[in-house]
Amino acid sequence: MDEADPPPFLSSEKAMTDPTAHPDETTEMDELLAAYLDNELSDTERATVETRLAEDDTFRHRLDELDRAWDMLEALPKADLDDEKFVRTTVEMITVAASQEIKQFEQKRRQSAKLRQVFIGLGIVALVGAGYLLAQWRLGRHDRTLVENLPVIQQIDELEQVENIDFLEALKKEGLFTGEPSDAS
Amino acid sequence: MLLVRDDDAAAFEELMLRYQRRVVTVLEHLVAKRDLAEDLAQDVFMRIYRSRKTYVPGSRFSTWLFTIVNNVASNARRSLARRKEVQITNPVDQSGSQSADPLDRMATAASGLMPTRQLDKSEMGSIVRQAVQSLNERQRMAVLLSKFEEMSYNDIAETMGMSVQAIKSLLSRARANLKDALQPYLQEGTVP
Repeated sequence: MDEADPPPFLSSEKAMTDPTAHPDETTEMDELLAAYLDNELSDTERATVETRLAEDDTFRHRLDELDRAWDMLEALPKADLDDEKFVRTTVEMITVAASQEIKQFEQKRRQSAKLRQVFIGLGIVALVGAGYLLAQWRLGRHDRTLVENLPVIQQIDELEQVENIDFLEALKKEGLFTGEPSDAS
Repeated sequence: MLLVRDDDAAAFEELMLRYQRRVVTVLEHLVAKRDLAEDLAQDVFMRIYRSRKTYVPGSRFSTWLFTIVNNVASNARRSLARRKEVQITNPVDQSGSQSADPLDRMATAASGLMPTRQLDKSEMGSIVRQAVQSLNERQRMAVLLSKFEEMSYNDIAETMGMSVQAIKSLLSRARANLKDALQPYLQEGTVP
């Protein structure tokens, strides 16, 4: 709350005794008193509350009740613990958990290493396969060329006698080479 | 904590020795079962050890610690609620025609035997424990942090992931509820 703007104090008498009093009034008063007891008020707010406490019996009575109820919390039983045993068992649990984590980590590492090996193997197989297919394709292309040119190969001796390629082209156009489709067809 | 972050095992043991009772005490009031509180406390310290590398120097350790405590307790309560194994808020048998409120029953039973008598430490502890259990979960956590960890509203807000104004209202309502629950015993610890 802004120090320059002290909380609007309500009539504690009204808030505490009047059944028609708005519940917000009691709530505001309790918030103020709780913050006062918890040392969470600014100096200005604290001074204002203290002035009010000096003047208002009901306000003071409410503070006293809230404070005494709070003090009774001291009676709450505290944990009775075997400190050494607790530390030992907790450290053991952490050690077990850590070794399990290391095991899991190692297992995962081994699995990923295996997986990596499998992928590398598959990669090599794929490369070899691709190389084989490429070689087959290239070799096939050469064979296909040979088959395509088989008539020429068969007549290579005769054809070598002709020095002018245009003359051969002209013979081809006239259909002199039987069994070979012309370019026009 | 900086030594723990740098894998100093002895420092971690020292840290546990310093905080374990406080953690178990808070957890016991949050889940209302001692055995479970100890198990959860061990879980808290395991989480701290695991996340030690993320600890930021300068941040308050107890705020970090009790944020984890709050999360662990919330998870445990949700788990318990799902399994319906326990009644956290009313663990005492509610059979018969007596009042459902254990505080009322204790006051009535005691006053029937002796009109006014001084409460012993154990009775008072039991009454106050019941009063704390009657608070809702958030109020209970805020009360425990304020009362026993002496945290400021700001630190409680950070621990519980709420605004400072919300914590102010929460603690105010908690104080009022405690006052109402303990009203019959406020006169110098006597049973009415």
